[in-house]
Formats: sequence, structure tokens, C-alpha cells
Amino acid sequence: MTRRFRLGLIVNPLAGMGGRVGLKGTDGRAEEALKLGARPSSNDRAVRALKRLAASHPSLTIVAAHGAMGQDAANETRFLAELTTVSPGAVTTASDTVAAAREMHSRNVDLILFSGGDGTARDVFEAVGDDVPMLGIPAGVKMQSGVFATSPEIAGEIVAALAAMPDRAKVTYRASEVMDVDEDLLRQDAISPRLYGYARVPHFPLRLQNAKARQHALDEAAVSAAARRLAAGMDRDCLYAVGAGRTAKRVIEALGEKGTLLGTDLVENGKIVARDANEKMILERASERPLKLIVGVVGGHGYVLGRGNQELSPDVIRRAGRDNITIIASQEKLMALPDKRLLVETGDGALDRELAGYWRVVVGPTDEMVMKMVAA
Amino acid sequence: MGKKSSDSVKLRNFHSASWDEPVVMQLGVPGRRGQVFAKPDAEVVKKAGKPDSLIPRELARTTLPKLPEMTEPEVQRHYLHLSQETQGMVNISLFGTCTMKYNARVSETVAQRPFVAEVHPLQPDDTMQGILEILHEFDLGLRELSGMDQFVFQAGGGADAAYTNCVVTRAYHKSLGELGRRNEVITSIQAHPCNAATAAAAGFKVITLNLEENGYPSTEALKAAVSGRTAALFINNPDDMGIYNPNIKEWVRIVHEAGGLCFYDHANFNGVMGKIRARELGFDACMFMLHKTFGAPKGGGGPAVGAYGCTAALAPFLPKPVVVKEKDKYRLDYGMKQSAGKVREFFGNVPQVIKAYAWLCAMGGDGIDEASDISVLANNYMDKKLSKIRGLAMSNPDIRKHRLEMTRWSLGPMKTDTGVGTVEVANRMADYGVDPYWMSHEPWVVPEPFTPEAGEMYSKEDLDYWMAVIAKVSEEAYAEPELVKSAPHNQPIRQIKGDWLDDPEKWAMTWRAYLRKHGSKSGTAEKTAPSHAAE
Repeated sequence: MTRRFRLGLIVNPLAGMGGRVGLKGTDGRAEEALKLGARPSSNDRAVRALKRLAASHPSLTIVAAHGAMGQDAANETRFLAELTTVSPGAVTTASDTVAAAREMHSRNVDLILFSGGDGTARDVFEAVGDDVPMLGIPAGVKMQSGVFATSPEIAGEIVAALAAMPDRAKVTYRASEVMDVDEDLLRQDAISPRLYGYARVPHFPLRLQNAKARQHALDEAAVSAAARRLAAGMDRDCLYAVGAGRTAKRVIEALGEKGTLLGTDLVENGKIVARDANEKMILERASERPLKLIVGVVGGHGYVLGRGNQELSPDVIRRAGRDNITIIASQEKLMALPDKRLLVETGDGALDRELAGYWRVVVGPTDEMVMKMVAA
Repeated sequence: MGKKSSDSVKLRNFHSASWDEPVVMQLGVPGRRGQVFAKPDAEVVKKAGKPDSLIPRELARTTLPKLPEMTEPEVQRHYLHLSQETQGMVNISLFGTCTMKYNARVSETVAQRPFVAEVHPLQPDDTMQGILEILHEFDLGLRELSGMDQFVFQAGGGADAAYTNCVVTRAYHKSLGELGRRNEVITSIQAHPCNAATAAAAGFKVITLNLEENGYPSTEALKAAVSGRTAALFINNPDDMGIYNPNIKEWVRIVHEAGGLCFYDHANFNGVMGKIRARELGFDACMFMLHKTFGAPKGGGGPAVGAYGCTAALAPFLPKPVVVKEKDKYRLDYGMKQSAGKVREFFGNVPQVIKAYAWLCAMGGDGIDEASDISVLANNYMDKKLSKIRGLAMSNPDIRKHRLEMTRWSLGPMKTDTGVGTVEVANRMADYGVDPYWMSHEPWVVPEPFTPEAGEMYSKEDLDYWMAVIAKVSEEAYAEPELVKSAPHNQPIRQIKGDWLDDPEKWAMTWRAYLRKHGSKSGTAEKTAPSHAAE
């Protein structure tokens, strides 16, 4: 018998306030947001999730951050909370989130449930990486990371289902992107999002969704096989730039190498010749031989080029040419995209328009899916 | 509908029988027999030999089979109990994409007559002229409905017919010397999944088109997929969501211009039967499922029939034999030199073809036309009523056109509001005596899907009852979600834990495998047998 389920709870009380007052995020701007009349809502959202959880698990053990960072929500829903030792000030900061998440890690929680947006996800991820699974209650302005439940209630459901599982070794997890944009740049309408890594997120462990979990395993197997096929089919004396992200890196793994998860690696004749390459390195090497790109679909919004892989600059993309770009993704990921479309935003509008149109995305060893790509 | 829809219909207080019935292998007592026969007289033995000696030695088993030893009434009782624990398949079953139809007793009776039941497929053609005549006549009927030039009934189901198309496609391109180059099959994400699956099994690369704003893939997407590598387009229309692609003629033209073939999977024929023909749309081949559209029983992976038809240009590549009529005689032609071979033994599940032929004769051309109208009308009636039930959302709500014979619905809003999703609703509906609905093929393109299909045979009262049940379950989900989540409550078995299905250490297709994986002591097995898998 597995020991009792322990839940970590972090509420970012300031999350989500910037959106309604046009601030595009609240990172470091909380006081301004409050002055503009923003109302905190992330605590209410956490309460909604916990209410759903309380329906089936009223006596669950919760390790909560102090005060507005979790304790309040737990009290309101009558959970008995163990508290972390971090005492945040009147205005909470990112370092409070990091410290609370670290402590929860050392106190062996099975899952960190947080209420916030991409910034909060990034802070929790910074603290625990993929050592501790996490799940987001959607409460932020920016939510491009793949770690959020579709509603606070669903987040509560997922935790309830996890807590009810007799054998936690059976839970399926997926590696989901933690994405965040630099809010200062976003405010100037220059989007510069980054992929910070892959968090461990419970994959719909609801017992009644076994069918979906099975599909997930099949899709994962298909995309791995596709990566092996791509690796085996690499042309000699070509330079392959293999972009960031877990899926594209499977091609590198299939070569028996270890790639850079968050950057572009260069491959020639089956060997990595440069890791985490920048634009200049790519163009220099490409002056001697034909250049081909292998990229994944980064982020929950369907970005293929321009997000998370800026080293694949307009010049690099033009050097390779559209016919020499291969996109690889699982079918499941493609089907989960909003509007089922891929997005491109290279910073070069003319190039974006050239790249827009229909692409054949590799989803399995002998399977492709035709997807529409639009300029973001 | 001012009042709650469940108010106007009285819901039945259904409860299924629960016998707590063990697996048959756990029953019986050594020595019990169903029938005990008298020993033969000495004189008989003298003339004919001992009964054992009548079995050739190579065929005689050396150890006794490990079967449960039971009396005949015990066996009858066991299977009666099992049948009572099901809903019997004559309830209201709006199992979309499968086109559930009543299997008329008269057709069953015809198929049980000796001229069908006692025929062996290897007996000489001239001793089964009647059977061959029916196959031929039915072929002519399907030609009328499709415009194709020849049908074969060898395929044992819809997927087998799609596979037939793969082998015919291969043989066709091979005959042109282009098979090596043409290795891609194009299909859509909402075509029947057997299209992609059989194409992959036949060695083709599969290019899948995604749905766009109108609910079907754009012609631009098709153009991006078509090339000199295109072997064929495999497509359903209407698709798996009841949406008709009006550009289909142009699609066929584009694929033909690239040198590919076009296959029309008629899994969803009910909404268009008698209205359009594969031939006029330009298709080279099509497939009908006799166990869906043509009123023959579903085989559950067994005796179904996928009737595959094609144009004269492809006919030489059909699996053999085909039935041919010469003057007044019928014969099975095995002589086709370019034939793709066989997809299954003999020439089809003849009893099923005969039931479908009986259905076709009973319906007639006008009847088929009217049945199609009714099935579309019934679905539009349901669309109107279902759209008023809380928590339900129609897929592609912005499309102004009507769906044809079925509509893909989503319980996404209900799931978000209450935590109750499509599996729970289906379980709960069974508590009111209706069969669980079909959700969706994978992948799900809308969250928490379900796909009801009324067809032409359910009455308005049946449809009203079904919708009253789902309206009631919606009320329950919003008022008392745990009641729905813990359903079914009125069935012999509650929720099944599906984790065994994923675990090779636990799953068992035979009793022997079950004992091996779960302990061979009969006492242990009895306590954990799958029939008790209820929570």
C-alpha cells in the first residue's frame, strides 16, 4: 500500500491581475496593477479547485504556503494545512514561490498544485524541475505552458483522481513545456518567449479516461519511431540543425547522442558537430554544405519557428529553404492545438507569409499529418 | 421546450438482472454430462468397429480436454443468466457511425433455410446455382446504388473491405509499373480509421488531412498532400461527424490528375443512400457494410461483410473468385490473371449477403430513398432538441448547414462545469435502459464526445425517450455529480477498472492464460475471476 497522498499548494495571489488592466502580466508590476483597479482572482480560483477536491477527499493532507500563498485557500475549504516556513511579505515575490516549492520538495509532496500563470509555473519549475510533478490552476494572464488544467474544477478533479489511485506508480505523466515570455518586451509588443524546460504533469489520470491514456502511449511510440526513421534517413554531407524541444531531440537520441533540450544542435553524418548553436555558427557551417532543419512544435499554441528557437533566424530559414524543413510532432499534440493550426513568427513578416500554408508534419514512421501554418 | 425535457417522458425504472455469474470454466463437477448415450450393441460394434476406432488416429486427441463438466440444464441456466445480464441489443441503441438497424426475423429465417445453411463453399457451382444467383442479383443492386461495375463480398467486414481496396490499389499501380513510386495514401482525420490503418498495414505511407473551419479539410490541404507519390485517396463523405464535403468532385479530379485512385468508404451511407452515387462523383471504388446499412447483423469481429465494388477498369484486380453469369448459368470465376489474390477464404459470408439481399428487396429503391430522408430528418430533430440540454455542445456550431445522418456532440461544457464527462454519462444512461452511445473514434477532435445516430428505424417515441434520458442525466450531473460519476447503479457489473487492459502481465484472452497469470489454484481464481471485476 502506498502512503497517503500529500499535496503541495501554492497560490500566487498577484497572478492574473495584469490582464484586465492591460498590463500583459503582473511580474514585478503588482502594485501598479492594484492601483489600476485590478482585483486578485487566483485565490478564488484555488478555492474552486479545492472545493471540488474536498467533495471526495475532505481530509487530504495539504502542505500550503503561508497566508495568501495557499493557507487562506486551504482554510476556506476546511482542509487542515501543514505550513511551509516561508513567510512572505505584504507583496509576495517570485522568490517566495521558489522557496515554498523547494520546501515542499524536501517535505515529499506528491504533486505541487499552483494557482497562477506562466510566471508562477516557471518559478515552481525553477525550484523543483521535474523531480516533483506539478499542475497549474489556470489563473494567470499568460498561460502558454502545457502545465495547466482546463479549469480550476478540472484541476481539482485531477488531484482527486491522483489521490484515489491505489498505486501511484501507475500514474501516467507527460513532459510539458514551461514557457514564459519576457513581459517587458511583450509590453512593447515584441514577443520573446522562451522554453524553460519540461515539467512533469499528470496525464489525465482519471480512471475513466483510460482510452485517452492509451492513445497517449501510442502517439509517443509513433513519434519515437518517426524520429528513428528520420535519423536513419539523414543525407550524408548535409548539415542538419535540430531545433529545441523534446520531440525534435528524439532524432538526436536516435543517433545515440545527447542533444541540448533547449537549444539547436548541429549534426553531420550522424554525429553532433556543435551543441546549442547560435545563428552565426549555423550559417558558418552551412556555407560549406546544404542545410536542413528538423523542428518540433513548441509551446501549447503551435509555434514552429520563432518561439523557443530564435537561433533559427530568418537567414537560417532562408538558407535551408522551405522544402528542407521537417516538422515532427505527436498527433496528440497537434490535435490539442487551439484552432488546430501551426504558427510562425520569425520576426520577418515577408518570410512568415512565405512559410504560411500547408505543411506535412511527421507524426509517425510512415504517417504525416497536413497542418495549416499561419503567420502569428 | 419550456419545461424540462425529462418531464414529458416517463423514464423507466429499469434494473438489470444480476446473477453474480461465474465464468463457465469455474463451473461443473467432474463426471457430470449433458447427455449420456447408450453403448452400441455388440452387433453394431462387430460390423462398424468401436466408436473410438472411427476417428482417424492422427485426429484423435490423446488427453481429455479441460472443459467444465456440466449437465445440460446447468449450461442452459448459465447462458440464460449471462443473456439476462445484457440489454439484449433490441433497446434504443443510437450507436453513431455504426448505423444500428433491426435485423428482421424474416431475413434470419431465410438464412437458416437448408438451401443456405447446408451449402458448403467447396461444392460444385452447378449444385448451388440459387446461392450464386442471389450473390449476382445483390451485386446488381449494389451497382445500381453506386454506379460501380462489379462487387465482391469476400471481405469479412468494413476494415477488410478497406484492405481489399489497398490490395486492388497496389495491383493497379503495379500493373502500370508505378507501385514503387506511388506509396502514399491520403485520408482525413474524420474518415473511418480503418482507412488509415489498412493502408499502413498494406505498406503505404499515410497522409492525414486535418479538419478546418467548415468541419472538413480544405481543398488547399488536399493539394498540399497530393503528388506523384499519391497512390489513392481513401475518404468518407459524410465523414465520421455527419458533415458532407461539397467539394468532393473537385477532390476526385485533383487526385485523378495526379494519377491516384479514389476510394469512397460508405461507412456513413445512410444519409446519402439513393441520393448520390460513387460513380457520378468520379470514384473508382467504394465499399458498403452490409451489417450496418443493409440490415444484416453485426458480427462483433466475426461474420460481417464489407461489399467492395469498383469500376470495370479496376475489376481485373479484384480478389477472386467473382460470380459471373453466362447465359442462364452462374459460376465462380477463379481465372482472373491480374487478381490481387484473396483477402479471405471462399467468397464471403453468404448468410449475411442473403439477409442484406432480403433487406434490399423489402426496401426497394423508393424505400431506400425514404429511409435516407428519415435518418437525416431524425438526426436534425435530435440536433434541435439536444441543443437545448445543459452541458451539451454541437461540434462546429458555426456551420449553417444541417448535418446528415448523425452529429458529433461534446460534453465539454458539462465536464468543465461538473466534472462529469462522456464515459460517466454513457454509464448512467444505461441505468435507464438505453444502450451506451458511441463516443468517437480516436483521436477525439472535440472534448468528451458522443455521436448519436438515429437511422430510419427508431420511432419518434424512442428518440424522445433517449433524449429525455440524456436530459435527466444532465440534470443529475449538475445537481448531484457523484451520482453520475459512480454509475451505473442498476447494472450487474459496476465500473470496470480498465488497467488490466493495458497490462500484459494481467490481460488474458483464454482461461489457460488467465490461470497462468492469476494463479492456477481454482480457489484463487474463483475469488478474482473477471466476472467479479465490479468495484
